[in-house]
Amino acid sequence: MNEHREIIAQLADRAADRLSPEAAARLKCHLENCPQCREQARRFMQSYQTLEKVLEDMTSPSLFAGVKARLEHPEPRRAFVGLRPAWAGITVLSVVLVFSALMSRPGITTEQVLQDYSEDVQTLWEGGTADAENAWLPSEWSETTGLESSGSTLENII
Amino acid sequence: MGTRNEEVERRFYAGDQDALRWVVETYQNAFYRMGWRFFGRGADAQDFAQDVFVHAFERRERYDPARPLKPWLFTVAANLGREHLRRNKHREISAGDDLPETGVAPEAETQMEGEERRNRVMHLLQQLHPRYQEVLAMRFESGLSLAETAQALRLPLGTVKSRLSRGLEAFHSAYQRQERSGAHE
Repeated sequence: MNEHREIIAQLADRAADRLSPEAAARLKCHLENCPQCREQARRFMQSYQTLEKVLEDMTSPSLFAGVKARLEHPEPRRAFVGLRPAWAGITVLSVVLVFSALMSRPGITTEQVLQDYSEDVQTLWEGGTADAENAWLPSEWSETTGLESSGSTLENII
Repeated sequence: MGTRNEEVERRFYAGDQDALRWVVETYQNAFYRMGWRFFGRGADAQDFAQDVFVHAFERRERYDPARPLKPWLFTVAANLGREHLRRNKHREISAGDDLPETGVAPEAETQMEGEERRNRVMHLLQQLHPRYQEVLAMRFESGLSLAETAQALRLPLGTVKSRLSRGLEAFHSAYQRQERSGAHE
């Protein structure tokens, strides 16, 4: 069974011309004598060619200018696209909570509320510690991400 | 994907902008395709690919210039991709995303058929289990060999071979099912 799996796995290298002539000959010989692997190889090659054909037509626009611009002018706390809606939600929620808390204080004006909030945000983003920033996050966001370094945290992703 | 360019890799590690340009131009298609599979839209795919390069360049001190740059870059991309998949387990993407509006001229039909086919294939890839998705992506979107894929994903070579085989089998079954249901419509 393992031999059959190994043979099928070799098809990828064979299709990409990365198989040595000796291994290619062994593969050919096995397929000629094994109807089960031959049928599996046919399906494998069909899928392989479909994927190869479809994907080779997908080309990216030039990205260098955008990458350079982002390195020269990094956006504060920028996350890749998947995180943006979550950040937006947290920001809105924090505004609502701060306003609710402050407006419940007697004798306070709207201008004072705005001033207080502005100072809070300023402190958090500029003077605050990493711990203070992470206190805004759900606990699972502070977990390690499985990145290449064992010390990887959310900070490394953003 | 070409052979290793050690001089460029050393300059990339040192923060050289021309080396960065070379790296971006060499690998942008691979990361764009990967992003397209995650997000289903060209603009987001472009954004994802840029994220990979920015992330890698900003953390290039973690790269060991004595080793090839390519697998390290794909490790960075795979980790960003895994992070995305983890956060978007239940995301549904329409197979029609990115298709042109109706009213396409007849001469554009061939191109449209190609795009439809691409969308269907990418949609099927998105439906596969992530462990198969990432191996197929490394092999087909990025053109990595099996050994490079194993290195990038930090998996034993045997595991990569077995996932590639099973992933293609799963893709084939799904593709055949879709073709049959399309023929009956």
